[in-house]
Amino acid sequence: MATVRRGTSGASHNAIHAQARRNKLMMFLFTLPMLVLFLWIVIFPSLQSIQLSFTNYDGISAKYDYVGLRNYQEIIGSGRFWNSTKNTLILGIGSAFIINVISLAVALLLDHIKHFAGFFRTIVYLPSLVSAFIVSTIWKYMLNSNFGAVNEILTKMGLDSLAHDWLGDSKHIIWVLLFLICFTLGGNTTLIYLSNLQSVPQELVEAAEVDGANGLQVFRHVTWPMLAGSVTVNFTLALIGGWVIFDQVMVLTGGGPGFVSETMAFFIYRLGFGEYRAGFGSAAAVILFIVVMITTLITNKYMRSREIQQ
Amino acid sequence: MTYGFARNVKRAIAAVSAVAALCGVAACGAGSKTASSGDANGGKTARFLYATGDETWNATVKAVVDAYNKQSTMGTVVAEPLTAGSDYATAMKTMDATNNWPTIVDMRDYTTYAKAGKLAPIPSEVTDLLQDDAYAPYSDGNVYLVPSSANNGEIGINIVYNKDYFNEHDLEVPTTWDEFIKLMDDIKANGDTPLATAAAENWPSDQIFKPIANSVFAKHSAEHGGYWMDVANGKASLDELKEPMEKVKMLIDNYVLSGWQSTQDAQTTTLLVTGKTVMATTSAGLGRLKDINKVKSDFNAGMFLIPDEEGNLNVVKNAVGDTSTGLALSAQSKENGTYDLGVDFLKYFYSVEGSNVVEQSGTISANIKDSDKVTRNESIPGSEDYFNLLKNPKLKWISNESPTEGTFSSFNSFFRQARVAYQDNQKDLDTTIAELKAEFAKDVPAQN
Amino acid sequence: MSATTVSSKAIRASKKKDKKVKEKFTLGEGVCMLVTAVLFCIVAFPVFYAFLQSFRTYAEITIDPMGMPTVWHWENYVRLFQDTDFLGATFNTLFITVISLAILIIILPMAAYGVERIGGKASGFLYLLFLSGLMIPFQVRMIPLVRMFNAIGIYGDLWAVILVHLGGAAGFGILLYCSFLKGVPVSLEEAASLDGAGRLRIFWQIVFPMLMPVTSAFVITNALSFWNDFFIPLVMLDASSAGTINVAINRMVGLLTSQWELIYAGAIISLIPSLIIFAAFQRYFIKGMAVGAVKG
Repeated sequence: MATVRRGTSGASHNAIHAQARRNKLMMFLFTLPMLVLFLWIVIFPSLQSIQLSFTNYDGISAKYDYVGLRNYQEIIGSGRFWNSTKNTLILGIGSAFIINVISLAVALLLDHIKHFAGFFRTIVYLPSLVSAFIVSTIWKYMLNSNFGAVNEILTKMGLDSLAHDWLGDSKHIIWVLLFLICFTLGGNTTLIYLSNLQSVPQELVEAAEVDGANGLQVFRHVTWPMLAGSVTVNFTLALIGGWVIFDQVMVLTGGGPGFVSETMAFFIYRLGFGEYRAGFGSAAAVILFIVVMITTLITNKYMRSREIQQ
Repeated sequence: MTYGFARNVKRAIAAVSAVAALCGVAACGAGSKTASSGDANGGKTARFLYATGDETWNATVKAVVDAYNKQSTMGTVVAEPLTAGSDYATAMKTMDATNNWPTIVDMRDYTTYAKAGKLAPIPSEVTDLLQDDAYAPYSDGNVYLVPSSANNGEIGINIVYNKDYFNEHDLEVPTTWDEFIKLMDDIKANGDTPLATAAAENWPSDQIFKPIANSVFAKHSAEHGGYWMDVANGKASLDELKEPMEKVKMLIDNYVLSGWQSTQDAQTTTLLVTGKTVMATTSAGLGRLKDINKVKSDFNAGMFLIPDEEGNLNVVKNAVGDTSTGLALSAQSKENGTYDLGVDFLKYFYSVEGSNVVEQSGTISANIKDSDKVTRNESIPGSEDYFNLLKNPKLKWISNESPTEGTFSSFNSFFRQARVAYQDNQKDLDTTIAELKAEFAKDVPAQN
Repeated sequence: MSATTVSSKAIRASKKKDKKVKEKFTLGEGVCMLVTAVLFCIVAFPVFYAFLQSFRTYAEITIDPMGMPTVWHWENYVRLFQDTDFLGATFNTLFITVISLAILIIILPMAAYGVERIGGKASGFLYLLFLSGLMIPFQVRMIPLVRMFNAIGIYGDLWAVILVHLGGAAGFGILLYCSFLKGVPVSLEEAASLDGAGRLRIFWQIVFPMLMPVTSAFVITNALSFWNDFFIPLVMLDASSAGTINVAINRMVGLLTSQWELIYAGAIISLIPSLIIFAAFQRYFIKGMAVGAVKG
């Protein structure tokens, strides 16, 4: 069809160029509203964070002074900051990994269900409709050390020794948080895996079975390589979400006991809004960005290369 | 087929925009309550922003605003709740950022805003109604904060206990520190848990610390505004806090119900009425007694203060700290012409009539000059203990003001968290004190 | 074609259930069903629990926090709307969700189309620029945003939340739409342009309808995340507004007393719209996830 057009139009090169330029301009105008919003709401404030990170801005006063690298020096020397970084890494990587494993397992379960498939897909998705905030609010009461449902159930089952101050034990709190964040059936992640699983050509699976491969081998050599694309997407998205886990920390522990369960996202919030140290908070925000960027790029690069190999 | 699809999409978008437009109208309607306008009382409308979180106080605000509007000729006051929760500072800051100040505002931590010029001075026609020690001027000589309730300082930070249990086991309210320890040993010997405290939120972790640290604060009370001012000016050291912090740690290790790290203040009522503990710390004073009564009307609650070694009951009296709340008038009210109405409301609030309304609603009214004419409300079980505390000869009012230069609240917030970390065995005392010193130096400069 | 697929049982991937050959119910499938159902019950337990608690009184919950309702106190749900401005909060949440999505559905597919069709280096540059948004969490830009919104006077307004949502959704949206657009042949558009149709009309009448699967996936995921968001409204809204549902519930958690019965009732109410969104769009959703994200 394109050749026909070229033949009939008979236009000069100049006209084609002009049209192409006009086309380019038109396409740019299409992009413009979103682009302006995006630059205004995302890029510009991010750059301003870098600027504020060199000041002693308190978040209220109109004035602030430049303090050079002092905020960064203080952050590097702050045990509280490193602790929040450690927590962020545990929660970010841990939740991305565990949620993906759970999601894939649930997707495999769903893939084997052929009757009432819609019903089972729905119940698997339902829990993810509840917001992290709401579910944490409920957990907070259920995990109370003295009268929470969890400890009462454990006691009734004769497992008193396991009863615990779940949200008050500084040594384990971060793992409790990780557990609660991963207490899910995956929602979107599961559905992405499921739709990917269902697009695996059945012929391949059957051919492998004919060759005498068992279920595990089929999964390892046929299904798993086909999933590479959704693994990359799911893991990257889960990781990006994991870096900024906030609601659970805010509701369940408020960063405590003491400072042990603060994450970077929570740390920035506390500094900027509770402790009137927005300049310092901005420096932490810049570091958070660097962490997110580096880890996302590395994982993505690694996963893409893995996709190609397979 | 694609065109049919497109039409459907168009219809869907039209429907969505219609809903959106509808919501828009509703939101505008809801959002436009800020302007002051004329009304039935012939005057203006002033907003009164109050901190929620304590139901007694909510009820008090509602009662006194209604009573004021009924008799007012100048205009109407509208009560507007402010998210308090555990994050009052954030809520306050958000409100400030919108530059949408109400006329009358229920403040904590007022120095930040007084310094920023956000508050208007309260005139002497209001302060003249109050007892002289019920308010204090800011460093520029103006008064910006007047008490929202009885100027009983931090007497609300005390211990509530199960009176029936005390009677049953022949236990007495302690009059010295040693008796307090002995009391807890006795309860422990019965196989019960003596004390519960809450530290899940930042602020209530003061409940167990302050009454004990007050004996240190008392030593610096006489001149210069108190301990924190002395620390800022190099006349006192944070090392002095070692002793009360160790005492608190000793209580935590030996007598306090486990799970205190994750217990919310609001949950101590449960612990007390279900017998998980015999005593519980509180920062709500009468509010806690009310809550207990609401939950279990036959529960016989009592209240006492932790005494120091000499038997003194040290209570911080200052109205201008960051735990004591107060009322302020905004600078913005001068611009929008509602300042006079705000003043008139405060005058009513501190009249005998207004005070009676406050008392009836369950809050103890502010210390006005005519306070002996006010009718006290002793209907809540245990409240007699509270009023007796006020008459106790051992009660010693001490002053301990928050430094106004710098951001003492940043330090205080850090201090509470650091204290919890120490009590929780995450850090030893010397490390904690060293960190506190560094933080204090950063946040609070020398004061004048 | 249909004959071969039916015989090879590969129709499993097809959505046309009615054409599906009846498969035998196997033990393995039964086990999978049982495990899925049990997992659901475990994960949904907190919600069941909240549902039961929402029918108890304040005194009951405080005295025995883990007990079961004896009398069903439906009035908690009435009080939720009478005693607190929960209706206002619900309205605000709805307003934020609907407006954010309506604007995004108009500007985002257009932008993705522009990015894809602009061609050359500009295409790659714009794509990466938008994608970088995925890596800039809200916390990184929160403090300057508050400052800027304050300066232009929309801080505390619902529009502040909406704007943050619009900017924040750009990265994932462009990723989703562009990956789908790559598979849309240009020839269709060219044919239409021969008929003299303008680019805008081509886009809305031909391209946009083809994007429906992605659009539905985008709408549903974002509708849920806007509806469920807590942090952005927490930071961006002030006391003069009723807040969003989550912010309103957060306000009920008081320092001295918490209104548990209302908190639980609010938690349950907040779920209803999510359920409706999911039920209404379920079919599109699964399809959209398949075409959009897997290719991304």
